Order: sequence, then C-alpha cells, then structure tokens
Amino acid sequence: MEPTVDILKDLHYRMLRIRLFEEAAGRLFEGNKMPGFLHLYVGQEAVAAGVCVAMRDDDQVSSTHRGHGHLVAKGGDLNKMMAELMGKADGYCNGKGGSMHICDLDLNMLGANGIVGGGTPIAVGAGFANKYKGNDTVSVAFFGDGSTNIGAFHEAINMAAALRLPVLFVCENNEYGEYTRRDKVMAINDVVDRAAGYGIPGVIVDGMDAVAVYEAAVEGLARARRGEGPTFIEAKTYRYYNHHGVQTLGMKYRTDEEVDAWKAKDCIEGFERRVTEAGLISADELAAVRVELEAEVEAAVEFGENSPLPEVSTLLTDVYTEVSR
Amino acid sequence: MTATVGIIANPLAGKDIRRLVAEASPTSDMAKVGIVRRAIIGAAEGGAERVLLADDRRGLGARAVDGLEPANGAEIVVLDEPILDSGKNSEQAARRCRDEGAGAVIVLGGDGTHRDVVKGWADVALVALSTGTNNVFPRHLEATVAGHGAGLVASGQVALGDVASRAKRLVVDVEDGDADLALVDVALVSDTFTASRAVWDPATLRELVACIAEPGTVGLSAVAAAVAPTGRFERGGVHVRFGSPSETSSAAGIRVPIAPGLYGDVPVAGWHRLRAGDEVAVSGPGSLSFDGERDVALREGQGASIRVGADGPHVIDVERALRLMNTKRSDL
Amino acid sequence: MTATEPEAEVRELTYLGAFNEALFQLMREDEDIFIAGEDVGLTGGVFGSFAGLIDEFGERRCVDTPISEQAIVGLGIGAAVSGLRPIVDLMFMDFILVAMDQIANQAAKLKYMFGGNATLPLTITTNGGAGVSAAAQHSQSLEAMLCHVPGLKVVMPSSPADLKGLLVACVREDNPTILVKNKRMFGKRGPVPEALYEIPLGVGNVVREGTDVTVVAYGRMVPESEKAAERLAEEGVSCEIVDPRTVQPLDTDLLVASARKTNRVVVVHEAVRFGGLGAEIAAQIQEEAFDYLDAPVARIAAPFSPIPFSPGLERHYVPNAKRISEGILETLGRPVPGA
Repeated sequence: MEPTVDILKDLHYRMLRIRLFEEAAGRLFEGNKMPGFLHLYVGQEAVAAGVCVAMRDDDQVSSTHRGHGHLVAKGGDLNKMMAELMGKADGYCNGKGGSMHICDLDLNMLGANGIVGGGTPIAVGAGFANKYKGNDTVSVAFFGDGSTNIGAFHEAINMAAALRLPVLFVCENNEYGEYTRRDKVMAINDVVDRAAGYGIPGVIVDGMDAVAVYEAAVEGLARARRGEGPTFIEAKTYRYYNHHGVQTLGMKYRTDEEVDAWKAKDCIEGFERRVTEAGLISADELAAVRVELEAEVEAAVEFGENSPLPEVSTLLTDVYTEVSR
Repeated sequence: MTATVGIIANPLAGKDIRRLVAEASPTSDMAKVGIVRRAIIGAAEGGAERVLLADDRRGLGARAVDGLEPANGAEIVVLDEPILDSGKNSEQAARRCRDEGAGAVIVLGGDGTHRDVVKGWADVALVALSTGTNNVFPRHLEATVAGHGAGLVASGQVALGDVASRAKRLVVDVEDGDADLALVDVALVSDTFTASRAVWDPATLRELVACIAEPGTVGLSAVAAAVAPTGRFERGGVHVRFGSPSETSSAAGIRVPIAPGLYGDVPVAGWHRLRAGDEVAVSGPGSLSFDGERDVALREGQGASIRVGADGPHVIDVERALRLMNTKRSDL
Repeated sequence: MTATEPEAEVRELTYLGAFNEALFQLMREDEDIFIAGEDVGLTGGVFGSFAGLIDEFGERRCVDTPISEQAIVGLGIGAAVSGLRPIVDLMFMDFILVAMDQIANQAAKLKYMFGGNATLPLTITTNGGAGVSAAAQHSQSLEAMLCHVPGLKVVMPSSPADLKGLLVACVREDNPTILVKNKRMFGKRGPVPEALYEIPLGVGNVVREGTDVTVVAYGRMVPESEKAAERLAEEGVSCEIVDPRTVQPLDTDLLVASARKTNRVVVVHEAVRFGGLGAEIAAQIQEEAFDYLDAPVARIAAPFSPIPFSPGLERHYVPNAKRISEGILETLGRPVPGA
C-alpha cells in the first residue's frame, strides 16, 4: 500500500522524535544526570515508527527493555518520559519505574519490560481481551531477536496462534543479544523461520526502511482485524549505541566497520533524501519539523531537570490497589 | 583445468511480504541448506572436482558444507569474500566464480537472485534452481540432479554448446543512474518507494516490458503472456501499457495470478511486441521493478530506457545434459 | 464466619463443589470474568474444579490453553490490564515455578513499576499440598515464596465455606491474587451458604477458642489441628486454633491477640520448616508479644527434603494430628506419650 504524503510526514515525525529524544537522553546519561540503565533505541526508529503509524490509537503495544522508541512512537509525552528516566516525581511512573518500565496505559502502551521475553505474553493477553470483547483492536508485541530464545516467547506466540488471537509479532532483529552476536546463539539465520513452526505467516522487512515496515505492518494488522490470527514480522535493523549506555565504537563484540555500514543505511537520512528527491516533502518542511522537535526535546530535558525527586512518602504507595471494587 | 562448479544461494529468497499479501509459502534456511547440500553431492557425482560456495551474511554456505564429504574427493571451497548485503553478495560471488574458472554455476533463488548473478557475470553458464517466490526464470528441479548436470558441464563430459541455450535479458539505462538488467520483466510502478520491494497491486502498474511472457507463470510475466505470449527462447519481447479502468474506459481487465495465490484484474490499455534492440522509454515518478521487485526509484521526469538483448546467460538444460550423457554411455 | 456473609440457606457442599459453585455465580454476575488454563474447558479441570462451566458459558469464557504456564499467566495479566477479570488456573502449585517470571516479575510489580497506573484484577487458582503420592513435583506448598513478593495476595482456604467466600474476594479484588486449594480436601464436606458471599482478604478466623495454647494453621493443617485439639481436649488441654486464611497479607493482629491470650504458640504448615511461613509468624509474634510468651514459638512443618512418592514415606513427611499434638504438648512442657 503506497503511503500518502501525510503518512510519510508522520513516519518522519515519529522517527525523528525518537532519535532526538534518545540522543538527548544519551547526553544526560553521559553527564550522570540519569541513573540506572539506559538502553537506547537509536538506529531502530524505522521499526517503531513504521508499525505505530500503521496502528490505530486503540491498538496496544507491549515493549522491551529498549522501549523508549515504542512509547515515543505511540505519542508519549516527552516531558513525562524524560522526568521518568531521571527518576523524578513528574515522570510517567512517578519515578518508580524508570527507563525499563516506562508506560502509558492511556496510550495503550502496556509498558517497557526489564525481562527479555516478559512482555510478549502480556501482549497476547491483551489480544485475548480484544477477541473476548469482540472489538477489532489488535495488540502488537515488539521484541528483539534475543527474546525469541526464551521459553515465555514460544509459549506466548504458540498460544496466540492456537487461539487465533489478533496479535502482531514484531521482531526487531538488531543482530545482538546484549554483547553476543545472534548467530552464535541461534542455529537459524532468520528469526522469521520460526513463524512456520507456529503455523503463522512470517515476513522479513528492511528494518531501516520505515515505508517497508509500514507496508508489512498494514498487512499484518489487517489480517489480525479480519480474525485471521497472528502475523510475524522480522525487521532487520541495528542499534547504533551499545546494549546499555552510549558507547558506539571500539567494542570487542562488533567492528567499527559494521557499525558504519549500518549507519550508512540510516533510516532517517535515507528517508529524508528519498522524500525530498521525490518532491513529496520539501527540505524546508523537514527542517521545520526538526526545529520543532528539538524544541520539544529541549523543553522535556528542562522539565525533567526541574521536576523534584519523588516524596519519600510515596515509597510504599502503589504496591497494591487499596480499594477493590 | 580443475572442473569447477559454483553455487550461489540467496538466503533471503522466499521470505518477503508476499507471504502476507498473497499465499506464498516461506522457504526456511533449513530447506535451503538441504538444497545446497544436495546440489554439492550431485555436482561431485557429475564430475566436479571443486565446488565453490558463496557464503553470506547468514552463513548458509558455511552450514551447508558442515560435515559433508562428497564423492570423488571433490574439494569444497567456501569463498572468502567480504560478506555484503544479499543482492550485492550474489553479484560478487558470481564475479568470483568467473575469476576462479567455474564451468557452471548453480543458482538457488528466485528471479531476483538470478538477476544478481547475471549482473556479476553476464555470460555465466548457469543451472537455475527455484527457491524464491515468483519463479519464471528458474525452474523447479531437484537439486541433486541439477548439481549433477552442472558437474557434467563443468567437467567437460558434455559440451556447454550442446546442452545450453542463451537466454535473453532486458537492458535498462536509467538517466543519471547505473546500467541495469533484468531476466524476465521490468515494470514502471506508481510506488514512490521501493520499500518492501515486491509488486502485487495491479493498480500500481504503469508500464511493463517483458522478455519472458509465458503462460503458466505467476507475476508480471503472466500479465504479458495474457496479451502476447513470448517464450524464453523466442526472439523479442512485449511492451504493455496500463491505465486505471476509470481513466481509460477502453482498458481491458485481464485476470492473472499476480503473485502466488493472488489473482488481480490488470487494466491493460495497450501493448505491442518488441524486436531485439527496440527501446522503450519510461519516466518517473515511480519505481522500476526488476523481475518483480521494486529496486530503483525514479524522480518526476527522470527517464529510463529498456530494450531486449539476446545476450543473456547460458542456461543449462539439465535433462538434456543427463540424456546426452546416458546416450554416450550406451554407445560404449 | 464473618459478618459479611448474608443469612442464607446453608447446605453441605464439598470443597471442590463450593469452588465450582462460586465460579458459576461469579461468572453469571460479571461478563468480564473468564477462566483459562490446562483442561479447564471441555474436561472441566482434571480435578473437576471447573465442571459444567463450559456448558453454560461456552468456549469463549472457558478457555483450554496449551501447557504453557508462563503464557497462561501472561494471558491473565494482559487481559486484566485490558479491563477483564481473568481467572487463570495452574494445575499444580508446583507449576507456579514455571510461571514465576510472569507472576513475580510482571504481575506482582506492574502496578508499582507503572507508578500506580495499572490495575490488575487477576486471580490465579492452583492446587497444592501433599498426601496423595503425587511425589516431589506435584505436592509442594510454596506459599512462602509467593508471600515474599510484594504485590501478590495469597489465599489458602481450610474449608468449603472459606474457599467459596475467599474465591469471591479474590476475583473481586483489583490486585493479583493466588488462591491455593488443597488436594486432599477436594472431597471434604462442610456447610456452605448458597448465596454469593465474600470473605475479606487479610482477615483471619478463630476456628476454635481455647486458653492454653494458640495453634496457627492454614489450609489442610486446620482440620488436622482440629483433630489434634479434640484429642488433647480429652487430656484437659484447651487449644485455640487461629486460621489466617490469607497468608499475604497476614492478619498479624489476630495472631498476636491470641498469643497474648494463651501465651504459647505453635505454628503448623505443610511446607518445609526452613524458611517457611512459620518463621515469619514466629518472628512477628515475638516482636509484638515477646513479654507474653511462656515458651518459644514452635513450628511443626515438613522436614527439609523433597516430597517422597511412597505412601510409606509420605505419611512420615506431612504433619498430621499426631505430630501436631506432640508439638503442642512439648510447647506446654507436658510429657509426650511415647517420647
């Protein structure tokens, strides 16, 4: 399905919003203004943007430890995100979750997840609820190549296939599980080969091409809405930064040449080049979007820095829902 | 000269979006590894003393030779080229096979993979094996006997000239771009983006040039075949123009399988046959698809010319090679 | 029996019958409730817990799942955050270990990690307890592990009436709850009100009033302790039996009040002694009632080994009325027959 200019603008907006947010988070992390772990999404923006543009607002997302991108793509509030990453009171989770548990249930983003493979069964549960309620909402499980080696993932995707649940499984294959190359820990080369084992269709798309991801997501979501069950999309992509933190080059587990080769296929640069060449979006307009988003991110950083640390009195709140119905 | 057979397999073949938008089946790595292993065994049996195997980003080649000890002590060499992205990898492997003096190359993939190989080595002698989705150029053939046929040719037991025919090719020149080629068809489609590459929506078709237009195929070749059938070894080709039924009331809707299991009404506005060398000029905006895959985006007004050339690769007819060999044996 | 129970017709039902009746009544009341788990649909559960539900509520609400405990719990979590009120069943309590990531890392923590922005009305039902030669992987009492995880509520009913009322409370609760039935009690009969009623979580029950010693027990150890108390009554020992019913949150006030009254406490559970709930209960009682105690808090529990298969071994493993009475006598400083 050929994307309209509005859709192209949306893809670009969401990719760039993720990129600028993540770059700013990385700078704060380096400046010791961000506690804990930071798993940056930079490099993979085309996947979150491509899928989320194809989704409806009522469609749900389950995410991973590398989950900022999915929330930004779902329309997350950058102020609340930045404050949460800094552990501040005005963050999405009031400073109780941080990077790995960031969520916005009002946007149907069911949370990042600190456990590899932990989010996929939850997406399947959301898919079950959609089928149960008889609506045509779809849940999308984002997960990495690494999580497909975990039992929970197999259980969840098999269950979704067996019960024909409206779930779209999106594998972001960035070729590394933490610091180990995928082919050392998996005897198949394409994660999508697993789809056949669950009896569902699976396709590979170029995860550095937002339009390619979008095209496949449109089809996968439509199948789910028609009641035809789950679809598996493997997006071949790459993370520019380390598993954790901001170091890019000079690592033992991957060569600098490899990193540079992937950066040469950068999803945002390539997209901007293509749409301006094709005369679909002007360079001026792209630049204006960048200026707007830079301001939004800058404001988010300021918001986060100005937000107070959580009150100690909140330490023990929210362990339980106090009043049940 | 060492009797050498090259094997080039596309690890990505059989995994694209047509498994979603049509009813195409997936081809797993395990299936491909099995095919490569059988091709190696067949090639050695057919007389190959050395088998060159292209490796790829996904290590298909390396895994295919794991523990394999073919007959006649044939040597298996996994090419030590730098590993490139899929299409470029096949192209590079073809050049290397040429430089290493391969007498025949077994290609595993769809139309796109065969195109990549021919881009690397224009007059390659190849055995075309289908593991892709829309397969017009390669045929379905058991890998064991395909390898055997390649071994017979590479070892000189049968002469290439006796068992191979020269295929056609489509020569494409893109304004401000690189020269390119296709083995079956080139189409101008309205998509601005190459994105998921496959072409499956008839509404996006603008123009089509095909040098193989055979009934019994799936994809754009079937579209051309519906108006002007042209065999793979017949001369010339066909040029088809499309219009949307709304704007061209005279457009004839032709119903063909545009992808495996997916029929579409294709609005043909006109067509004519092409002789070898006739040029068709098209211009953007849109994308050019080569053998069914969007590959080159065209700007507004950016032109491209397409012509049918008679100088495609040598395609080995495996059955003919085997029959010839059997005849020789019975002469003894 | 608590005040929340309405006056209604009371019949004899089995433990499982009470569970089953509660499910029928809950599912009729609330369309958002469904059951999912291994064999819970067509078969009605391998023990019959879910018998007949599929006939009334259909496959949509009685879902047979793959043998995939992680995905079963995940299904419940995802459905619960999406507004449904799932009851997911893990056939044996031992199988919670298979699903522990989803239970402990996901369900228990979701609300807190999300800064309160999640409500998780999820009920996990399962079957624990030894004594049926189910051996080491189908007999365990693992409640201590669950109680150790903030965010979960854990319920271990000791009678048909409690089971019904506590299940209703679990299902209506907006937090993840785990209700553990005891396998050896399935056929045990008792009076059960017919109407739908709720026993609040975290509220214990004085099963038997007494003056000499407090016996804290839950699950099947309650009827075993009652047997022991009957025997000891003949010897002039007055036992008070306190059943917390919910082990997380624990009704510490009730236990402490009883300890202050009797000055001696014996805690009984089926789980192994080391690191069991008895240790927690003993600690809390000494913190709150140290000056009232006339003897150390005693624990009667399983020895530190996996659960044996052979009835010849297993009957020496699980605490019974005899061992409970011996423990009580020791705590009272009275001679133990045969010792």
